Amino acid sequence: MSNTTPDGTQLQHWMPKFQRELRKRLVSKAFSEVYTGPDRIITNPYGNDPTGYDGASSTSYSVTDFTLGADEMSVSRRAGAAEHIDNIEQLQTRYDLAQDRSERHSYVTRDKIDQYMLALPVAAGASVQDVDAGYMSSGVSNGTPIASSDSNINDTANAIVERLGIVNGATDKGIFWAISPFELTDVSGFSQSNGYNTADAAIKNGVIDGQPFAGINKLIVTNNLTHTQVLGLATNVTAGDTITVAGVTFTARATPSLPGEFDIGADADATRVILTNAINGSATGQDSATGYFEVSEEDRLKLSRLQISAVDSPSGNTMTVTSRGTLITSETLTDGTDAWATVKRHTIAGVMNSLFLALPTDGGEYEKKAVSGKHGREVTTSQIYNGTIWSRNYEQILDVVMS
Amino acid sequence: MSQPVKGSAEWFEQKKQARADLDMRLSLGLPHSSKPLNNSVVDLTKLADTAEAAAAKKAAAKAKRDAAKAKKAAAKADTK
Repeated sequence: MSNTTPDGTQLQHWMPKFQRELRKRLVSKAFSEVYTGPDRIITNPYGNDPTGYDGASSTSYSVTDFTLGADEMSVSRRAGAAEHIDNIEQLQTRYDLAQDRSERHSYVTRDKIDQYMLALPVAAGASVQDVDAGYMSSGVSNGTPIASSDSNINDTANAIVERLGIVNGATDKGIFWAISPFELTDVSGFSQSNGYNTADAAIKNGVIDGQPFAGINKLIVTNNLTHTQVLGLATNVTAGDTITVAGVTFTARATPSLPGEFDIGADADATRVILTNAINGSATGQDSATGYFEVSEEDRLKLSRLQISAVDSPSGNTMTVTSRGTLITSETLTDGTDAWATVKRHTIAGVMNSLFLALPTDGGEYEKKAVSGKHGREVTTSQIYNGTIWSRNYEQILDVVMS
Repeated sequence: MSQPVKGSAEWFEQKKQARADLDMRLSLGLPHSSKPLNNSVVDLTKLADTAEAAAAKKAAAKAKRDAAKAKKAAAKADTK
């Protein structure tokens, strides 16, 4: 047997299946304007607003100059997956490996593109309005997440609709709100206990992805929203203390030797640096008794799928973990005053099609090749893409920070 | 203050408080600390009182000094 995946009809279907699955599952397609052309650079010119006038009729009038600005985006990103498959796997697998892997590659690529698109409003910083606890109480955002519940989720939805109305958003195109399963639970709970007709329908059918809610035309449920969470660590850890991030446990040891173990530094500041390196899989201190021992391959995959990264703050006595997916953490730090702060979930709301996604139809690639010194074949699947928020669309998008 | 035993009810309660403290500190832009936030809150009213009292004391001392200076100047004028 020369190939790990059979040549012939099934293999010919790999690329179409990959692209079909990708386009079907891509959440960002639902709320973005999608361009599928092969262009390298996309230019989006926009004009200034005319001044306009009104008053008593007069023969003279004032004229202002029309000016044109332009945004540009290079279609320069690539998301995909590459695997080496030993021919023994193909031989002993009781299902069609080619079909399975093409589907799996599309899911991974989907996650990466969605994670990138949903992080754009967060990365835009002050250009995109944050709707948080401060905004809800005084109209000025303060970085504190809204403590979402099944009794107040409608208030957040109302605030989204109101804000997009205030900024003259093109709400006639429809409003979307990309939420995590946690917010969906609150929406379901709210719908099941308010209004006889709504409650009856919600109890019977539940609330599902794509449904409208409180002025929002479409709820989009995804696990690819950006999350941030801060760990306060001001007292040095004790041997055996653990920090768990997205199901991966890091254990403090006086002398680490096993995957997932990290060294207890001279003080809390030093320990936080080692822990940060361990989460990031940094080359600094890797597989060293004075650093950390790299987690298992399976655990690293869990972290990399969520694109988890940690940043230490010596002045704040904290470490911030950012994830481009639903983040669940825990800790068993002996010191009772050190703990995780409340997680911030950056749900994204806005006018439909206010984000821009370039996804060239011919931007997919599939390659299968022999690898020197290895049995089997390497299979690579990828998709060219890029996304942006055009300057004039910033106001039509909201970073709704929930917890 | 002794630490509660890890895993005890007191420890979980302390963790709950620690999370609330950290949330508050982050919203105020303060660094995390092992000291509970309520122990480090400054009573601004008292602070203002103290500041006012200090200012009044300072003003009184200055007035006393000025009076002494004036008295001395008057005595000097009389001698002439």
